[in-house]
Amino acid sequence: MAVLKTRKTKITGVCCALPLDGRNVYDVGAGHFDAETIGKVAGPVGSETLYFAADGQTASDLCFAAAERLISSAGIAKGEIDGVIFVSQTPDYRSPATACILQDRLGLPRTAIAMDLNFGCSGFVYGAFTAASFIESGACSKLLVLNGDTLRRHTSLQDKGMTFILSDAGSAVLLESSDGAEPMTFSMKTDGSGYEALIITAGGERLRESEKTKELRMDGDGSARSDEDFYMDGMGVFTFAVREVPLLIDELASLHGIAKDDVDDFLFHQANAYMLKFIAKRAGIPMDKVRVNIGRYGNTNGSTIPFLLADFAAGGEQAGRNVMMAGFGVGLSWGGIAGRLGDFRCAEIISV
Amino acid sequence: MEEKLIDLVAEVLETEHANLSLDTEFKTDEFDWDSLKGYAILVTLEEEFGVSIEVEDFIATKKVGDLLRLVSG
Repeated sequence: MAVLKTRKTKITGVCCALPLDGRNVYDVGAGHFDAETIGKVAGPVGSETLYFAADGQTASDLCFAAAERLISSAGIAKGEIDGVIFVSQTPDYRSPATACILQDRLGLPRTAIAMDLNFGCSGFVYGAFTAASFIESGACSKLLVLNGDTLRRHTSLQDKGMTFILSDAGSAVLLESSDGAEPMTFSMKTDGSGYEALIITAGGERLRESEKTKELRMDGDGSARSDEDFYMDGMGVFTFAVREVPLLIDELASLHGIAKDDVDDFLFHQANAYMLKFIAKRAGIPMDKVRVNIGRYGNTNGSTIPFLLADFAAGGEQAGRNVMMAGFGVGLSWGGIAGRLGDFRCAEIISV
Repeated sequence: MEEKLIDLVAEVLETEHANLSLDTEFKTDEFDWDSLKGYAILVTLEEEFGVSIEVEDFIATKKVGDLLRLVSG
């Protein structure tokens, strides 16, 4: 079992970055779908404003801005940061790892470890698990987990299952070694048999990009996309999430030694609002404990939990709260974190 | 079985049991129908009745009574 119990890892700050171009869902769908269809799809999803990266603006640009602000607001010396983990499905280059570029761009020491992780919806949990493992082993003491994606470039505007959900964004979360840290419990899961449920088929080695992979094809549901666009099997992903997340919550409660009722706040990947409501019902969690902000930011993929943390901690109300976080999606992969949050050095959302 | 089915469908559709019968067409604006509610019904019925439902068969359903045939095998 991929379970990690931490004794000295503490989440101490978050900054999220949105691109400047925020669009109402009706503007996003204009010219492709009528207003009734848009309302019918976006309504249950809960999305209202979606963000689009500017031409030439990459996920690492958004993460860089978030990290710079986090470092300055938190008042930490760059020389103390000994690791940067960039979690993304939209790296700057095929090679090298974008984290290496960010190490230099952020002015982090050459003694820092820098690595990319290819995850989406579950990406924050994966990044935090990796960072916490490095801290618990004693290898590192301060790490940045950067989650960012520019999936709008890989989303067909004519795919109603995707286009009213996804936003571009980046985030930076600081994890530190601290003697006064509250224990946290991580549990990670994988089911690669579902890899086709969320996939960009073309562009890797298995299927190279070509004229053929650019062709738009209409599906039976009135949506059109190419092999270079992000595809989601809505039914497959929904059933996966609503079955697995309640089980994960029960498992985390048991591993962490906390009653589900004693968890104050649930920070779930903002897949869609209806799904969160259904997960809460099946898990026996009151919906007022489930934080929902998909309306303001859209589904920003791996950075949804950092956005929840930023909103939560903006007024300092997170300190002392028992939380459970869960990320789930592309892979298929999922994982969760149980623990009590402490003080944050920074909790901001900026526009870039 | 019929009563249980109607209870479960009513819960997902966020309506009262009394508003549904086997003759009710449930994929309509009256119940604010969308595909997410469809996924929710499918998952619920599979678990509550211990059956496996093909997506195509579910798509073909119109009335609550059609769902009863699916869960009855």
